Amino acid sequence: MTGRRGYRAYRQGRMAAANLAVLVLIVVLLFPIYWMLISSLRGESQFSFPPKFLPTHPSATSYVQIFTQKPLGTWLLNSTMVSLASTMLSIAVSAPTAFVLSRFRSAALTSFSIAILATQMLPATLLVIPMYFLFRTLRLLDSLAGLVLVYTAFAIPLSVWILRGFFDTIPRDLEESAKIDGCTELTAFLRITLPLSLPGLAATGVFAFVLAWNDFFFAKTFINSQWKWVVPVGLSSLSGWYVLEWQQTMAASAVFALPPAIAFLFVQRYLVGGLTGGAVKG
Amino acid sequence: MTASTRRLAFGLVAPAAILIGVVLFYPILHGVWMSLFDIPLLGPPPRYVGLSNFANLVMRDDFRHAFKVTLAYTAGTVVTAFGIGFLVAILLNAAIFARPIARTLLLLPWAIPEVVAVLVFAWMLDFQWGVLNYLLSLTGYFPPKIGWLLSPDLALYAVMAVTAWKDYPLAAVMILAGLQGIPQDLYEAARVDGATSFQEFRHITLPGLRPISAVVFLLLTLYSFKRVALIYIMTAGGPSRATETLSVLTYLEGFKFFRMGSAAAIGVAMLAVTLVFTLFYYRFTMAAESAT
Repeated sequence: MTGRRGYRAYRQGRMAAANLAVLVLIVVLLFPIYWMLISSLRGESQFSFPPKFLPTHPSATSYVQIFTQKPLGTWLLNSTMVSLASTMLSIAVSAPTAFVLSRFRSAALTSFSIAILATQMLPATLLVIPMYFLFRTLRLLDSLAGLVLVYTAFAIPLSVWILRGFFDTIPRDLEESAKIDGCTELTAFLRITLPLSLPGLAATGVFAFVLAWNDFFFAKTFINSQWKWVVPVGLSSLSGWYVLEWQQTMAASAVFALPPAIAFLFVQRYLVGGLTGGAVKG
Repeated sequence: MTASTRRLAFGLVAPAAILIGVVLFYPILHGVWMSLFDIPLLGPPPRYVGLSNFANLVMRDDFRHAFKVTLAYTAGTVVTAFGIGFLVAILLNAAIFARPIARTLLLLPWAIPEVVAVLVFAWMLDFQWGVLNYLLSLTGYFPPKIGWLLSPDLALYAVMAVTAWKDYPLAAVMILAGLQGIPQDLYEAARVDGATSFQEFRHITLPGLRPISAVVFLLLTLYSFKRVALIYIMTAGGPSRATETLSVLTYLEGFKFFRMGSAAAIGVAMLAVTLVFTLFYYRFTMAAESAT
C-alpha cells in the first residue's frame, strides 16, 4: 500500500472483484429460472440436443396448450381462491392479536406468544395424520374450505410476529390522543394504528398468500377430486418421474411461479426485516 | 389492566387462539395419543399398545435406514445452503454497484414454489435431455448420460441440491443482517492499525457473525430435518429408498400403508428431536440478542 491513492486503487480493485463475483453467482444461481423460461418458450421440436441456450424460434405455444389442453385454468382459480381467502382470514385474525401483544403485558399473553411461535417448529408429517382424522370428522376432507383453515392457522404465527413488530414502531401517544378525542381502545386501533401499519399488513398478506400458494403437502393429502386440485398438485401430476411434455410443464411452472415472484419483489424489504427481526429477537 | 381492557384483549386474541388450538395443538396431542395405539384401517377399534410402536421402530431396518438418510440429507443441505448463503451475503455486503438489484435477484429462489423448483431441476437433471449432463459432457470427464434421479447413489445429492438452492436465500438474508450489525468503527480502528483485509475478516467479521450463524445453522437444520414436500415430489423416497427420510417414511407409513399408529410414533420421535433443536434455537437467539 503506497499512501492514500494506492489504498483507493486497492479498494476499487477489491470492489470490482466483488462485483464480478456477484455477477458469476447470479448467472449460476439463477440459471434454473432462466432455463425454465427458455424451455417454456421453445417453439421448434420438443427436444433438442445439444440444448440451445438462447431462444432461436421463441413461441408461446406451450402457454396456450396448458390452458387449452390441461385444466390449468381451474387449478389456478382454486389456488387463487384458497390463497386469497386464507390471506384475508389470517390478517383479520392476526392483526388484533398482534395489537394486543404489542400493547398489553401479562403472564398469560407471554405464554400465548411463546406457544404460537412454538407451532413453527412442529413437523408437518406428524400434524397431517391426526389432522386427516379431525377433518374427516368435521367433513372438511376434499374441501377447499378445509385448506383455507389449514393455511390460515399456519400463517398466523409469523403474521402475528411481523405485525407486532410494526405496531411496536407506532407511538402509543397517537392512540392516547385519539382516546382523548373520544375514541375507545378498539376504535383507536382501527382508525389510527391499523392504517399506519399498511406496509406491515401488505408484507404479512404476501407472506400468508405465498404460504398458501406454495403448499403441496396438505393439498395433496386432503383433496381428492381433480377439479378441486390446486396448482402444485396438478403440476406434480403432469410430470411423475418420466415427463414427456417438458415445455408445457415449464410453461405451467412459470405461470405458477410468477405471482409469488412479483409479490416478493414488492415487499421483500419488509418481509426480510420481519423475518430477521423475529429470528434474532427469538 | 382494568377488567374492560382485559376483556377486550382476550376478545381480540380469542379467534387466533381458537384456530391455532383446533388446527395445530389439538392434532399434535391427538398424534401423541395415536402413537400409543394400534390403529387398523377397517374393522376392530384402536387397541392400546403402550410404547410398543416405539420399541418396534428401533428394530426396523427401514426406520434405521431413514434415520441415516435424514442425517445425511440434513448435514448436506445445511452445509451447502449455509455456504452459499454466507458467500452471497459477504459479496452483497462488499459490492456496491447494483446491490438492490443483485440482492433481489439472488434472493429470488426463495419466492419460487417448491414444486416449481423440483420440476425445473428434474428437467435439468433429465437422464436423456438434461442440460446438466450436456454441460458435464463438454468437459470430457463425464459419461454422456447420468441418471441423477434414477440412480440410488446420486438421487440424494440431487434432492440436496434443490433443497440448498431453495434455502440459501434465508441464510443469506440473515447473515447479511448480521454483517450490517457489526459496528463500522471496528473496521476503521483496524485500518488505522494497518490490518490487512484478511485480518479484518478473520478478527472482526467472523467473530461478529458467530451469534447469527448459530441461529441460521439451527434454523436450516430444523427445516431440513422436517422437510417433506420437496423430497416427496422429487423422488417419493426412491429410487430403492435412497431418499427416504424420516418425514417421507412417516407419510408413506400413514398414507400408503395406513399404519397410522406407527406413523404417529415416527412423527412423535421426530417431534422429540425437533424440540431439542428448538430449545437450542431459543438459547442461541437469546445469546444473539444479548450480543447485538
